[in-house]
Amino acid sequence: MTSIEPASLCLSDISKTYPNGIEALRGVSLELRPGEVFGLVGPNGAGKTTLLKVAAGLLYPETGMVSCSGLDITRQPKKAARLIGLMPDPLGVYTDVSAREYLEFFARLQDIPIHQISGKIDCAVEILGLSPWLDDEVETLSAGWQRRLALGRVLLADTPVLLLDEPAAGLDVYARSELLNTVRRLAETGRAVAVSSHILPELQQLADRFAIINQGRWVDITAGEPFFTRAELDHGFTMAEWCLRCSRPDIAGAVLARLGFSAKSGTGTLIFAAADDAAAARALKAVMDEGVDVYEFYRRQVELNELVLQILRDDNQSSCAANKHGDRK
Amino acid sequence: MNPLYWIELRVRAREKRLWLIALFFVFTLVIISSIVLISVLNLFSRCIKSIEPSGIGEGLTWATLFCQAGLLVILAPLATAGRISQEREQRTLAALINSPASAARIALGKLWGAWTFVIWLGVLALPFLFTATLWGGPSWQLILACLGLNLLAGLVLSALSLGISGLFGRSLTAYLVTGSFLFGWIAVLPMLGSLAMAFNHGSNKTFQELVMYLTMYHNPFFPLMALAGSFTEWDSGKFFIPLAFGIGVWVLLGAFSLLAAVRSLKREVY
Repeated sequence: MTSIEPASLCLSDISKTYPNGIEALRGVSLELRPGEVFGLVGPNGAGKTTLLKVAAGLLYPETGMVSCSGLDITRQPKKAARLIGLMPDPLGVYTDVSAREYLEFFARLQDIPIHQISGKIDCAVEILGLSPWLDDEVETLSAGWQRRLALGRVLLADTPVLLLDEPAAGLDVYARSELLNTVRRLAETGRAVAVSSHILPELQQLADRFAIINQGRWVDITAGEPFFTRAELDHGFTMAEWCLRCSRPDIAGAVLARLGFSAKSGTGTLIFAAADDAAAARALKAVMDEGVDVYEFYRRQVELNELVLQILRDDNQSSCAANKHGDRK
Repeated sequence: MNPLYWIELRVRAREKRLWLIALFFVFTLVIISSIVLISVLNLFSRCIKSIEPSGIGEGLTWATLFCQAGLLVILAPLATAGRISQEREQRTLAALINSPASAARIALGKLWGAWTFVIWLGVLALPFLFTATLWGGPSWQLILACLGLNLLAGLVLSALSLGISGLFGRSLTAYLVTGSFLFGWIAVLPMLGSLAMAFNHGSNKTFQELVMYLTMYHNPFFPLMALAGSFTEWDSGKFFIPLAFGIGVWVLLGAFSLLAAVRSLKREVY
């Protein structure tokens, strides 16, 4: 994979309403930076696909602006194609051609010189492991291989910004792992990648930065801030949570309470929050000094799954409350 | 080469039942030619007593050309209707639009792809025309002009179908609307024109001409009929203005349809 001239994608205050009146996006802003993988999370119908399509110039927003490397994409959507590669969902592949013809067609559409097409296809095919199926008709390929083929099309375009809508849907575990590696390598070469996915554990491994979208707008994670990083997921947003599995949870719990930690117990493991690593180490020492055997002691990662569920539940409840309040008025 | 044209050719070449269309085309030509040949031979044997070879050639040539025109009027729209709506339906339009290819390039690629199919069908009729001309009949210049008109009609009908297909998200709707439009243009309008002239039988010549211009001179079959009619009076120039008018309407219709197809490719992709 070759390095590329880096480009960042900026969406500012984007609003989009469909002809049927559905407000798909409400004042969404985002800056996608070169070399990062951005994870876009949200329930079905939250506006993820709309956001990616607006960013790629396929949908025109009512308000706001999309720009990439100084180019106003809302005014010149055709020029976006040289900078932004979109892998849409649903995928949409031509089924009545062979995989090679499919890739060759899109290489020609990208104006790649004829003598370079074969080499570029071989390169994409090698990355995606498509070679055994290259001469098969697309119709006969499984959904997972069709998805890889569509990713191959995006790779051929070789754009500095990649927007991948549900790239891992329908892929087996092995293929998903390969895909994660491919996307990670793409980001390492300076490309800015946005990935929307419902497979959150893998997205958590892949993305550097995340945001949750619900009902067409970002959901704030901390006060006024919708974006969060993988480091925050790994180490906790304000205070890291620690897990302690030991021989005498009752004694350990009492020791932690004495030290001012509020510990909760779950399936034989005590969970408590500590401001920093030093405080956690002090707590561990105090427990061990009481003669308690410690089997496991580790920092608890925030699971993206859990976080998203919690955040969306809270967001939907506050939306309902706001609506009821509005009705009463 | 236009990538869309390239993929259209690939897709058509991969079509497993393509030979059936060719067989249908050739079979229809064989049947019509045979009927014409038998009829002409019968006519000569019953009425004129001596067989005139150029008369047989003439009958066969016009039969082949009209049959070709009829088949192209059916097959050209069938090959093109739904080419854009199909992209919407199978969700491939997003990938097409998210490429540096302009909307005009995409539409032209699809149009050339459909027209190549029309030309291929036109070529299949050449052996019949060649055999017919062995008997004598119309000059080769006239035959070439008629062939050119048939191919132009195929191009216009393809452009028209492409333009209509861009307006709809479902191929079936695009096919139905194309079929209805063509039925209205080719069959209903001339019938209305005939009715108008029948009801105003004694009316002045200007009215009759106006009705002809409005309902018949732009019909896809009219130029061929004009050339067939002028076969005996080619130098009179009687049909020149209606012929030019008809072809002018075709060209305008084709251009507007192509423009509609291009505009439809600039619409949002949901």
